[in-house]
Amino acid sequence: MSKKIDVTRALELCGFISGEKQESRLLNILSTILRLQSDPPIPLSFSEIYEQLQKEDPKAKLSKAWVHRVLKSLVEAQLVRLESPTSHRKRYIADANTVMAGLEQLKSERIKELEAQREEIIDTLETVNDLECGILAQEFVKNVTGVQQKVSSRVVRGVEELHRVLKYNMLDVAKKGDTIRATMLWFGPFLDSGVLDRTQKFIDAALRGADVRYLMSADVFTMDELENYESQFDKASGLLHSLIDLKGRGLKIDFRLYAGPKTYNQVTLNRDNMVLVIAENPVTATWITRDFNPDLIDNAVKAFDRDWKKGKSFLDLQPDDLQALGLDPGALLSRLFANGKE
Amino acid sequence: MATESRHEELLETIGLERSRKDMVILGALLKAQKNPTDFVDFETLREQLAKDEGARKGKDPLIYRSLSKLEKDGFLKIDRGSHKHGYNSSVALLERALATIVEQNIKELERELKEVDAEATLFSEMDSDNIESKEGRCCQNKARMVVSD
Repeated sequence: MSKKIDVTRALELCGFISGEKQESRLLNILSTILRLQSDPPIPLSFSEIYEQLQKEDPKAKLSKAWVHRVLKSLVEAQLVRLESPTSHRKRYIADANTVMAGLEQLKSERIKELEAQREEIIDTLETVNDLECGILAQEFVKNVTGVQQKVSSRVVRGVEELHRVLKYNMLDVAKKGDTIRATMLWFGPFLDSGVLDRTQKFIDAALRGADVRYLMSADVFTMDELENYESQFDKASGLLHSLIDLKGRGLKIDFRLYAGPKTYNQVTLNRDNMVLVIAENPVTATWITRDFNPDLIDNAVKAFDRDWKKGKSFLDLQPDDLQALGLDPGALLSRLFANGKE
Repeated sequence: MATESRHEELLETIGLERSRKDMVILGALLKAQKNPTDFVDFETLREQLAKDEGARKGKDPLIYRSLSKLEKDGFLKIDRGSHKHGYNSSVALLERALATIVEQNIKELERELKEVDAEATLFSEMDSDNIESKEGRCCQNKARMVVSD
């Protein structure tokens, strides 16, 4: 939808004038040329324009050189055109057509600038969103003092921040010989558009040789709200196929299902550091290192290993197992399971 | 070295250039502390700054102002329990202060993005065939346009 807009405002928007005194004079010169024009427009010499400017505002004391410069910039902006650009004696024309052409040019330049600005802001936003403040703080101290001071605990809020902490402290650093233990007690806010990227980080760690153990409570598949995640079926099915492929290649990665009491909702890297989820909505967790609380990490790992032994790998699940776990054979998991085995 | 400069770049992205006076003072404080839990008095901090910066260390009022700003932003703690105040910073304080600054940066960038989008919308709706002069006459193709004073 087009909007009626004032010429001055349009030129301001296009960045051609900004309300400064010098620039309002610039607009005055354009106005003067337009006022001098007849219909059809006649080309005006520099002297005619200059004399008219002096007549209109005798106190202004405009130098000829300055008026020449302004006319040049008006011509460059296409708001004014030259009768014959090659002619030695320049004669100027401004009318509705030149103003429209000029505005169109300024508008398209401004739109390009805005697009560039937009891209730059989005890039910066991505960088800032991805910043891991714990690592940044550690590096700052190390660069200044030469000593490594580590953060030993922190509160983590939201799925994105939680994943950032996991990524920088566990998933991106885990290598052959390391064990990542993860428990999933509810899908809740985790089953969003970023779920595949986040799961991929666990797979990447397995590809680097880490032993990835992902334990899921059977309860998550019996929750009523699971029906809301029907749209994620294809994604989950794709993940199951990846898992089968990775296992086939001998990688140490497994997803197991267990039916047991609630346990620590945690992710640990060896017994070195742990994220413990403490609230679901909004997601709130605490990240701690062994220095901060070794007993808590040891207890969480011990509980995990106990449930892991009792758990059944997704890949070994049989229909009877699903029933034993209290799962409806027609429900999402059973369909997923049937689909994965195809 | 590459990692170090990458981290410096990231700090610059959120407006924390290493050359900023308050960042230089924060660096001097961290160096002056023998342990992360130590509180350092002003004189010790000033000596460290003199070692790091020489004549460019700045006058005391400037250092005090920077310390207050750093405290306000959460980069350091000030122990005002005794006549001589003690100053302390640590990686844990830095982490929390940085998280706040990152949050502010995200809000500011989202606001800028909205402004740019709003301006882009204004341009997409602006039709130069439909520009009005101040006198209210419409600038239509091939018509004469009058711009008032």
